[in-house]
Amino acid sequence: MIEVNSLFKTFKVKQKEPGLYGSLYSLFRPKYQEKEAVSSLSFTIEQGEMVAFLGPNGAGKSTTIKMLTGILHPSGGEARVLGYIPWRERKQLSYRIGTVFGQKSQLWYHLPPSDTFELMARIYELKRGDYLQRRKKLIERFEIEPYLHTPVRKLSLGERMRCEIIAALLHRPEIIFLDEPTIGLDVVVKVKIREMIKELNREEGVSVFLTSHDAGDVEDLCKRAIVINHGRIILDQAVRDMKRNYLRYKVINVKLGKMPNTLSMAGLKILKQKERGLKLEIDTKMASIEEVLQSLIAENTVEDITIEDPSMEQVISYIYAGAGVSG
Amino acid sequence: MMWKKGAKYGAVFRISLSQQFAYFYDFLIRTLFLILILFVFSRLWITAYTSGGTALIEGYTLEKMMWYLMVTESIYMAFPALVDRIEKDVKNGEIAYFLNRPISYIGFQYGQYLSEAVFRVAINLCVGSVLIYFMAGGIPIPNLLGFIPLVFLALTLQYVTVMAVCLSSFWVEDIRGFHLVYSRLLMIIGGMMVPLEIFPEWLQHIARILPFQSIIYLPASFFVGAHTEPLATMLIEQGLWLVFFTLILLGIYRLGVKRLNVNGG
Repeated sequence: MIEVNSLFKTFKVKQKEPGLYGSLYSLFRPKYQEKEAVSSLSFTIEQGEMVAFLGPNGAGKSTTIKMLTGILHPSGGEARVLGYIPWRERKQLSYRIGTVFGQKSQLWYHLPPSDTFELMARIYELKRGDYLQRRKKLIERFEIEPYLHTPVRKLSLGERMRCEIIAALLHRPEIIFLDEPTIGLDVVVKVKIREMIKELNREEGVSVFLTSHDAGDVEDLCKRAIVINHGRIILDQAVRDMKRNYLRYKVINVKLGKMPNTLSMAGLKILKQKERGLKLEIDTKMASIEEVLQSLIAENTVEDITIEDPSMEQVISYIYAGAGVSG
Repeated sequence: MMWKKGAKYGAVFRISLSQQFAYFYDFLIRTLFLILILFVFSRLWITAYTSGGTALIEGYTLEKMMWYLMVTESIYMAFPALVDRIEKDVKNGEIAYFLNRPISYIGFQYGQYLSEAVFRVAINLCVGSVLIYFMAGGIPIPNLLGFIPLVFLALTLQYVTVMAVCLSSFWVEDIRGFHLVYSRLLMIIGGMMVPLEIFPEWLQHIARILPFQSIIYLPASFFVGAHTEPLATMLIEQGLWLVFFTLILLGIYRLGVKRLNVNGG
């Protein structure tokens, strides 16, 4: 379905000496430096797979997605998506893939989502009957019936994101590229959207290529994760294994009623302490969250508490540092 | 399947037209501004005619001049603000997201532009006509079968030229300078402020061989019956400029996309 072989991309970046002289000099004799955004990327994604494509900012995720959807031409290597060479057969490919970019809306802001759906049906040249049937099904599945005719500007971010996903699915794409689909959403909505994507994958066999900074997205949705940094794949493994190795850390932010008594337990690390506020890291392999919470509540008055997954950046830094691999 | 391709752009036109109604207050302010401009310029012309004690200036009666002014202002003030939109799309790379959709960026923008421009020009002409009728009377009855295609081609030509200027932001940091020069040329030698006949012979000659008059002067002079060329010649003139600038626009777009493909915007 997606085959990538030794794909690489270099950009030319203009260099400039500091100061006024440098500005003048670069105007007449610009100097460029080659920057490698993606180097020798190889992987295969099968039909129906849900793969997380992870990495910190600037790792080369967007560059890769842009090459796979045909926007960018690579500097070398090969890629085939549904049998097409994306950058050569961009238009043909566009009828068979869907894209959702979390920070880029396809919806018309002042109009209800139903108007955008209508436009999408025309753009993708859908047959009227097929379109209406598909639309009905997606509206039911994503539960957007109550606000189908409400202008997009009046919708919440979560409602809007559901509509974005529908707009990208109307033409029955075989692969959907989701770039940060849950960015800025609250937990309940995130879970709902994840469930819907999973259902879609289960029922229609749509392959999902997901990038996210949210560890929860990755854990919930994908069976496999590819982690890249500095344009290279540093990890390509089952999320189950990755979770065992790297996502086992949880961060607890807690505000206590008075200065804490001694807190010591195997697998518990104090990351930060500011008066009565504490930031703790738990290695869930050594101590369960339940045990830690029980001990906190038993010995202190808890005013406020939140539990977080480590950020994707932290996970990647664990992967780099080799943290958790051995212990 | 040509009609299906055409239907895409028709759908963009329709959805964009519906969106116009959301900008009611923006539209109201624009219309009030048009009324103000027309009123001030009409008073100026009335003063010019009465203080000069003349009934005709270069073949234009006072009424004709005021109706001419109404059409030029109505067209000029109907142009949607493309510059901000396109420059933003190019600078922050949003244009790239159109490349993997089965619709052309230039066609999509044209559908959107045309709906805004047609909507505004129709309202401007109606409001302007009422105002000038009360100030000057003597409504000219133009040949609408000629006037409508002239305005349509003028709006399209404006789109193509401004779009070409806007897309140069692939290479140029700030295109506002270019656009300012372009719009001032349109105002002066395009015939927005005064009909070309008022200019000295040599400037008139230059203005007539440049494209700007096709956008403003031709439809306005036709509306008041001051045109010297037959309708067919005027339409052909607009059509040729349109072909010329479309080729330039497509060339710039293609080079820009190539740059985007290589540099990622």
